[in-house]
Amino acid sequence: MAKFLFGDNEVGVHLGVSIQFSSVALNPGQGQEPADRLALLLAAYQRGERGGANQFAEAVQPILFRYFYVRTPDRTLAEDLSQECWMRIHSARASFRTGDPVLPWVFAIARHTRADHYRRAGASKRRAPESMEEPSVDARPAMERTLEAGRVMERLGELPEAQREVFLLLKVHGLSVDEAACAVGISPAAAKQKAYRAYEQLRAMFGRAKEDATK
Amino acid sequence: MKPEPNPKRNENAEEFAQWLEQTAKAAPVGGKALVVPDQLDAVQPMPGGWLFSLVAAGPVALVSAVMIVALGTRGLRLMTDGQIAAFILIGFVVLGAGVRWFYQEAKPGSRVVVPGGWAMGAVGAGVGGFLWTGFALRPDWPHFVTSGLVCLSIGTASSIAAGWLLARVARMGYALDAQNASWAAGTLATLTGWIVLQIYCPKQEMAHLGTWHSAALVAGAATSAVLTRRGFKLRA
Repeated sequence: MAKFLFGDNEVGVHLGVSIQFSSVALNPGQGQEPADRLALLLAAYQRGERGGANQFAEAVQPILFRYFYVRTPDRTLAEDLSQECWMRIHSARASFRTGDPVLPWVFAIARHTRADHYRRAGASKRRAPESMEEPSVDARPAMERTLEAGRVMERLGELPEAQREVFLLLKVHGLSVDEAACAVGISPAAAKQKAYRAYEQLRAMFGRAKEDATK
Repeated sequence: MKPEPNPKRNENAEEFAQWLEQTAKAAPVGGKALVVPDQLDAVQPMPGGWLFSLVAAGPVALVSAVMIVALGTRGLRLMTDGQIAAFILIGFVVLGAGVRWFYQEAKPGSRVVVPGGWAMGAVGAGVGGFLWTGFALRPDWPHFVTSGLVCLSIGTASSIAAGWLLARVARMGYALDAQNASWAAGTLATLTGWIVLQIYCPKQEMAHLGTWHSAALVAGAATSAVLTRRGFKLRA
């Protein structure tokens, strides 16, 4: 049975190929791989080339972790979901076609991984986290921003799931409207509409919050 | 009267966008190590949209052909040229919608051209609309139920056979949502039953078509969806 595991200890045991990630904060713009390179690496992964699989995992893992972390500000859960998602990516790797965009394919799998997790957990709706996780030592310079992120996430949590998903794919993960639509499994027109509604609601929320603060 | 634009609105939105961009990108990268499984076999990438569509239409064509060879074409011979033309046209449209939906469900991150609801609506509207292409209302009441049950059985059995084959075709891809994928397979499979019945059935009149062929369509879709769901669930 194939296993994707996190943690240094498992590396030697389960074989073989490991990819090291440091727990550093990503800087804006960092971590985004050129789409062509990802497609080539995924094609190598499909051919069973270890080097390609490794590099693909190395390039996609930060993106994937960020995907879960932004939606689930709980580091352990985000890691668990990333791990589960990698199992699915591995099983689904034949369903990628060379020439197609990689990230919508990855995010579509990630979206269902997360949805299935909450379905299994019996949560019909995504529950907003009660508090943000304590930032790690490496991330301390970003503490202030992380706390602010909690407030942003709270606001985002008030959006309907579908709108939040499209909004995050567009604004955080930098996908185009077409790519976000593919990842969510809706038409581009529907994605545009959801994004527009999300902007409107967030504007209204932040407008209200600012007015309350000035009173 | 149009309200004055609120300058604070854009300011808030921009401020929010900046915060979001900074905070989201500042999220720590997770995991210390990722272990690639020891079993790293080469896989055959799934066929492209057109090829996959042909492969997905294969079970429908195959089961239809086998059933028609076995049962005959009495129904087709009773139809007028206009009805045959409408049957072919509607058949292609609904088959195309069904195949596209099936492809979308089998391939993660594929572009949604035909949403599932539209595909089901197209099948319902196409098959329902076909009833109004000049079929007479001459119910054969003494044999209404018995002949109807024969059509219901043939239609449902054809759909189940096609559904079973479609579940195997779907394994070329990776269905993320077992429920939607099974409904896509069920909808596509049930067209097999409709095609077989329309070509074979000698009772080409509205009451029979509207009652029993429609019932076979619904039963075929539901049964195939339920049966194929298990296969999709195991993969998802």
